[in-house]
Amino acid sequence: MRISSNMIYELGVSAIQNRLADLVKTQQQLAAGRRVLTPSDDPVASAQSLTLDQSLSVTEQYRANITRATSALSLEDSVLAQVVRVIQDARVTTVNAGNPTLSAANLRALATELKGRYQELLGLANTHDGQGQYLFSGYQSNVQPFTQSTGPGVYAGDQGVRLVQIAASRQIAINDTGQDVFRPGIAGQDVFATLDTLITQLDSGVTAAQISAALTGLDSAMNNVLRVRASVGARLRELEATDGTHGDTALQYQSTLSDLRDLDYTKAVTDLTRTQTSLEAAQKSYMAVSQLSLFNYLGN
Amino acid sequence: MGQGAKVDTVKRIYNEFLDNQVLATTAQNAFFEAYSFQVRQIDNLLGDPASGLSPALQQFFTGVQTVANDPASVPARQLLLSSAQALVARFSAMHERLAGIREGVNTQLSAVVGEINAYATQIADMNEKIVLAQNTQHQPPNDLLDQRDRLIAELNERVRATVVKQSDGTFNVFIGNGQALVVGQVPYQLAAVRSALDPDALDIVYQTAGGGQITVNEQDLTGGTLGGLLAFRREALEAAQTGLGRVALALAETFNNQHRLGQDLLGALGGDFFRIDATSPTVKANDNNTGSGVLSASLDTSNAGASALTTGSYRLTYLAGSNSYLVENLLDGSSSTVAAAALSGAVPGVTLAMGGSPADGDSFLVLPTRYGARDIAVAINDVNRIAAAAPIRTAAATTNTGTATISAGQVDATTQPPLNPNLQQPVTITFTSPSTYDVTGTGTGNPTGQPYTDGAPISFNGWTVQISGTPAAGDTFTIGPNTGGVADGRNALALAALQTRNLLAGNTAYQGAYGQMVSAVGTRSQEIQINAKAQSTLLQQTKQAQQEVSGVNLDEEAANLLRYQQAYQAAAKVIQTGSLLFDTILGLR
Repeated sequence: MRISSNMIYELGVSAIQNRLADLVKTQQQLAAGRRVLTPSDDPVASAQSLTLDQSLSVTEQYRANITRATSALSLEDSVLAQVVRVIQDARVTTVNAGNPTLSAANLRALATELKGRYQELLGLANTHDGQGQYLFSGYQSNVQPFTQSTGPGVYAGDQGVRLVQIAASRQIAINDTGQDVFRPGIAGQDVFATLDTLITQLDSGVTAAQISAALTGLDSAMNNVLRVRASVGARLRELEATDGTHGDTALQYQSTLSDLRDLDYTKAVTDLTRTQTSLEAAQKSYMAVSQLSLFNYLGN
Repeated sequence: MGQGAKVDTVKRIYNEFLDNQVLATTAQNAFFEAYSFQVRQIDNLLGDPASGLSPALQQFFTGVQTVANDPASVPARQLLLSSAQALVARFSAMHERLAGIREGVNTQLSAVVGEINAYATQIADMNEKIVLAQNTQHQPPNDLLDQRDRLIAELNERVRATVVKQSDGTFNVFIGNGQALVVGQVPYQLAAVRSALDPDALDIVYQTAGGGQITVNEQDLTGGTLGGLLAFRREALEAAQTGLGRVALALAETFNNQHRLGQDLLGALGGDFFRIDATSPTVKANDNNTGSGVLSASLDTSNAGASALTTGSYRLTYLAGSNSYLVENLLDGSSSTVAAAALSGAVPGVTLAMGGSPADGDSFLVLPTRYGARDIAVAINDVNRIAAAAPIRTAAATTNTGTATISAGQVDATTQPPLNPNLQQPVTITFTSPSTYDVTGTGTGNPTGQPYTDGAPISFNGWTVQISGTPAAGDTFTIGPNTGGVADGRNALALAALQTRNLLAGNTAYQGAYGQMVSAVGTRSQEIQINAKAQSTLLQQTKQAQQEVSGVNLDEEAANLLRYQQAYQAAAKVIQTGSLLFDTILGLR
């Protein structure tokens, strides 16, 4: 085979350039810490990692939503705990009022105490969160849910349930409506009506039957609040469990993403060293070969 | 007088077959180099995780979720508006980058055409000189022949050109589909002119002797930088722009459709969230049309329309004979014939209409998605206008004695928008027995004695509710306007769900459609880069083969020099010896 002198130069330069291109590529991968620098490096992995990226981001979003739902439900839970305590206190007062030895003045004092409970309960029913949004008014969070100052409950909210997306196909309620918790307007269940009636009766000499009816009403209200609270507790537990699942899923996504596009440093560094060696070899051999010429021996 | 040595001729050593092979390979190599250089720009644009579409899209939906979590919160709404602005800006920035690459291609096309013209002139000039030299010197003008070969090689780097040798020693050069670039001593010229059809493109035209211009079919211009640029524009660039545009338009359309089913913070029904400029879809009539036909197009903004949108760009040609249109998808090369009566649905996702009367052969370009990424904007600038709530809510009467409950109710998204005018009319469902109910309310037709099925959907006026459990006779449920429902995030939840709903053609969601585009560009780029590498190796090998024949090896020449030098010395020695012999003989006295 004849080798033209021109070809020796061209081949040498092109070999060096190819090695150099490989070297720069590996260097870029090392600098970025990624195996896939542009989609053309691995089109399939690029498209896959975009999808996984979104799945990961959606999962992280669900976790953020869970945090939000947890804080709303925790607030509701603590309010409900106080509601339970107030009803319990009212019940104790009511039981005391059943003592036949109590004077009218004593009963009026108990009535005054129950008025305090009533207002306390009203305050709790009108609780709002840090942003001034009422907890128990359904969708109308700007509307104060209970507008009466005495008497049976008058509910100005609606039956709307606020939902938060906590998983692909699961939305969880982060409120319970005032209608559901305090049962305004429902005979025998309206805790405000029960207290108000008893207060009036205490002021005008109460009968044992009236006390008994009040106790039934308070127990019914208590059971209802406890039912709601149990449901809140169940939702909080579900949130915690779902969050754990999402944590595992996110970890899996991350690990798959890393497999898809992250760099195997050991391999990359080995590649870098190898390419460097072959570049040096190409340079040295080029220098050696290009200097060979018969003309060097001609003349002198 | 001595005459010294006489050289008969210097013979050019070359192999025509190898030369032609080098020319063809050179053209292919330049083609892939130009293509690969251009497509790498898109590759890099999509490859950078920070500058791609994906993070902006995800942040936008994070914004939607934040509103869904806290619909009454103004900061949450502000975050959504900001992330929507950022998303639109990202679409636009990516579009601008791609449009910039397109402009760059145009600039280069003009430059390359200029070079081709210069080479054509020089080759014609060289033809003339060669004929002249041959006629006067009676010797092959080797330097001129070499120069002409070099010019032809350089021309082949610009565009694939074939050479036909003439008996008088001139070369005729042809490009494309047999268009003559040089005939004997006459050069012909190309020009890059604004396309009659595509407003963004330069067409390559062939200037005829009579001063006319004939558009060269760009698919015929294979090889060379010119071919590479044209193929890149036709395949990779168009696909990237329309792919991006499709995601933008489909997102805007489907998001708007859901947004219009909602109710904003002020209690008004939702409007459009995104605005699509009237320049999408773009219709352009061919400047050379002779008829009076004016084609107009509008996007089909329904969800069905959004899911029908393709990444294609279409050319419609009127065929008077059959009163129909030839519809060609320029991206994938597919075509079909559509009767004039069915024109409106000829391009998926777009509604077409023809005004006036086109003449036979008149053509129109329809670009549904090329400008989509540029043409979307956020229509809302008031945070209160984000329709996070549903416009209806339901309630069970507190006096109900049964255990039945009513669902929150939803606004039907399959038949709306436009919204049913009675959507928010108060409707009462009254149970006349545990198994039958009456419905009263405007728009319902007040049906009576409806059979009750536990949990079955009940739909009127554009909403659907479910009643489940056991109702008692006299129980009532109401459906009515969601007045003051600021904490309701039902519509925001539905908007957030769009992120993962497969609403686009190919049964994919927004991110998936973007992923398809990235993967398509990546695959194309990878293919071109591999081809470029292979072609450059092939070129090297072909050149090597050619050089084996025609190339100069300095060692060989040095050895020959030595050989001839020694032969010369030997010959001189012979003469010297002869002279000595003669001297000796002549000296004998």
